[in-house]
Amino acid sequence: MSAHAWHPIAAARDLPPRHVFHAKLLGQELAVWRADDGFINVWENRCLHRGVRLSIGLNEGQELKCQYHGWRYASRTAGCTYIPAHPEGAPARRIANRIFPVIERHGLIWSALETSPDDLQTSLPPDPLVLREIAIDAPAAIVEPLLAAYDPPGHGPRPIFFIQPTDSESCVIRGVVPEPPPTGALALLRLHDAALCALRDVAEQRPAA
Amino acid sequence: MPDPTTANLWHPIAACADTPVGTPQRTTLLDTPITYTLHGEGHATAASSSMLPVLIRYGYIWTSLGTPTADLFDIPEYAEPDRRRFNAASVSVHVSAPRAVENFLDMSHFPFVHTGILGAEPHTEVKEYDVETSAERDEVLATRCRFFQPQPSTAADQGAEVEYVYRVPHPNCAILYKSSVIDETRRDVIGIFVQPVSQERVRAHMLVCVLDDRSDDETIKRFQQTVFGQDKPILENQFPKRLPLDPRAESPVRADRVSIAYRRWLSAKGITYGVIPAA
Repeated sequence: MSAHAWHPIAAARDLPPRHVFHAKLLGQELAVWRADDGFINVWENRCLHRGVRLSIGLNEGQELKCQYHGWRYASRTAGCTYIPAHPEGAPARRIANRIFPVIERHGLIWSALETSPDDLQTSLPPDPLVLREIAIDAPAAIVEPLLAAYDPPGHGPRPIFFIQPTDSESCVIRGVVPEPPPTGALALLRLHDAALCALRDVAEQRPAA
Repeated sequence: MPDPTTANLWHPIAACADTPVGTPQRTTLLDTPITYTLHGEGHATAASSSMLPVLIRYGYIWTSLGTPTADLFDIPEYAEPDRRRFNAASVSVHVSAPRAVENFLDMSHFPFVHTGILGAEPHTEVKEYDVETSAERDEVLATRCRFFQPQPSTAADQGAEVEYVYRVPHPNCAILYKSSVIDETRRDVIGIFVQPVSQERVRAHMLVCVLDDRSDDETIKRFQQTVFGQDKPILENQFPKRLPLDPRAESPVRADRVSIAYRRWLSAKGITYGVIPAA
């Protein structure tokens, strides 16, 4: 599980307008938010001032506002733009949060902990059916072989699965169906949801290697 | 094991008014299970694997896992007979003790966390105030702290610029003095006495000692519980949970001078429990 590789961290639908989504990748907590112009920000989930999670902050469209002292950080740069305790002075330029790279593709939001990985290599059509994510209290290494053998009866087109390694003890299965049939999407979602929940039960009961 | 300074402190473990008389109670202090009993008439006993020293002061039972080298700090106002004095609440919080104390010393969060009560936008500026660390009294003191408050207390009908004094006479206890809306020559006193359950969990005991001739006890308690209920989710979303003492670990501004002094004072005391010591 490389820090340089792209991993899914959210579904595109997790980022409705003016929301801040709490994600985690390889032990790193992330605050993920879509600005009003559509730009997706993936930041370390801590205000630089006193360490409060930015995922409980307010998405104000072009800035994220911390809940504790109202510090504001700009979309794209994550630079602090305003410190309400000192409204007259401009914040020191060095106050900028840590940002992570981002790609929105196939209905998922992708990121990497280390910068400048190669482009995300997938060969999926642009609008697949995105399954509900399944959070699993077991490491990715235990989930991988279970997914390789995944074959629920009557599932139609096979989903493509990506595993989001949240930390060394847990992961999230994110599945997409590349070319869903024109009708019956709900039944397909239900079928996979039930099968993946069963897979989760198996994964969580298996002792870690 | 807690550092020696922390082990030798007096720590609050319960409010007397919330403790049944004559029945042994359990709590945890510095990762150590404690049994204590309030016997009435200002007498209590406490034990872990052996008997512990006990003090009853300001309406609370205090104990120590070590040998307290000093008496507990003084709050002279507590003796004034016309004050309303009681424990407003004892609240469990998933945070370190010094993070809880630092939040208590902070004015700049009022407009954002206690909106419409202790602060409101656009009145966000923290004006210059004075901070000293007194070697003689061994405490951090912040004075001339001024802030506009929409509803400073249960006795207030309207907003006012309120002046605060903050005292930190104990690594896990702080006291604030704020202008009384009833008597401009006197000040309300509110204390936070933090019981470190572990390095990252506390029970925060809140003492009120205020001038208010019109509110009943429940109203005064509810006001404090509302305010602390607003702080709790902020504190529980702070990371790291232990307070970093390295001045470069977080990004303080001028409004944080009391927090900077507090962190430096903890460092000088050699405290390692509930903090991330400076390298």
